[in-house]
Amino acid sequence: MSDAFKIPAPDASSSTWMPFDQADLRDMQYATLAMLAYGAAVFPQLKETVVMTGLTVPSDPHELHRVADGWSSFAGSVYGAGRTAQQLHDNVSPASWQAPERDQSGQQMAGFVVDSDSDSESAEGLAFLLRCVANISTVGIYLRFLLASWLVANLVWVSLLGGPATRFYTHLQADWLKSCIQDSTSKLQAFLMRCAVRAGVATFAAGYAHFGLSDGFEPSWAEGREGGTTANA
Amino acid sequence: MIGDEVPRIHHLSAIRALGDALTGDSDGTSPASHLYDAGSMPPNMRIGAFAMGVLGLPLALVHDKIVGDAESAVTYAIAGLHEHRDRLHGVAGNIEIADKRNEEYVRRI
Repeated sequence: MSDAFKIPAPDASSSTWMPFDQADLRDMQYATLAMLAYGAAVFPQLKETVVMTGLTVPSDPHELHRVADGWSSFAGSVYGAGRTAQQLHDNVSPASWQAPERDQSGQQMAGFVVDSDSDSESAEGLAFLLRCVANISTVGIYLRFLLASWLVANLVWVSLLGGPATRFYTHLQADWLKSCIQDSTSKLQAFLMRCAVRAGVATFAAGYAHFGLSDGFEPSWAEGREGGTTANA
Repeated sequence: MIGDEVPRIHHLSAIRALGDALTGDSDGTSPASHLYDAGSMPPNMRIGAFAMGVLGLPLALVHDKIVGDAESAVTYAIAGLHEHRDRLHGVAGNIEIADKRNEEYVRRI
């Protein structure tokens, strides 16, 4: 390559050296080799140890169940408030109070009842969502427990039996390592896709909880109403 | 409403009793007491940001925001019930004043 031709440098008086003149690609080859080794052997282990444990922060399903119970009691209390207000207004006999004020009060009570019903429905939906999340995490915990017991049982089996079983297990381990190195890229891709899907599902659930379940809980609920409900503070 | 032909029957004690029953604390079944029960949420109702794992972060944050909104909504509703009680008492007082004036006019006539 150095004998073929030389590109005239603009400032040729200082130095006539050009890169790749020596045709020495060893550094680049070493760098490529290191990159491949990192991608094949180092990064999968790093992913297993750091990323997976980082993303699977243990969460307590009982906490979510307790919060869901709180939302259920909240829904019951709000629903009872609306119904009791309506019963109180209806129990006043029309014979003792006939006036435009009674109609106005009845309309305000009806608005209060509608708002309390929608609030209790939102709280029930939120409790249902939290219970779903808690049950899913419980199932994941039990699956992980089963996987760990299976691995431990295999280890005990291999350590108790010597000879052919150990050879068989070594063969399995080598095969697994080979497949792991070969399919690390596709596994990583699938892992990232799964993470993206889970994050999307979580974001969708958050948006559903925000825009679909918190209609009555917004602070603008009491401010933007014009005499419709009793909640005009 | 439409005219003076509308029968106006006012039982002042009934109106005041309705207003007191909406916010009465002595009776345990008033709407305000229901809302007080709802407003006093269980302790630690706000779950942390990582209660549902790292990927459940947005859901946990939105949940904590909804808890605050629900508490403020209950507070607004309780204030609205008290305001309604005051309005009913005001109505009863106005009716009483009007009746006294009418009696006075009748006496003068």
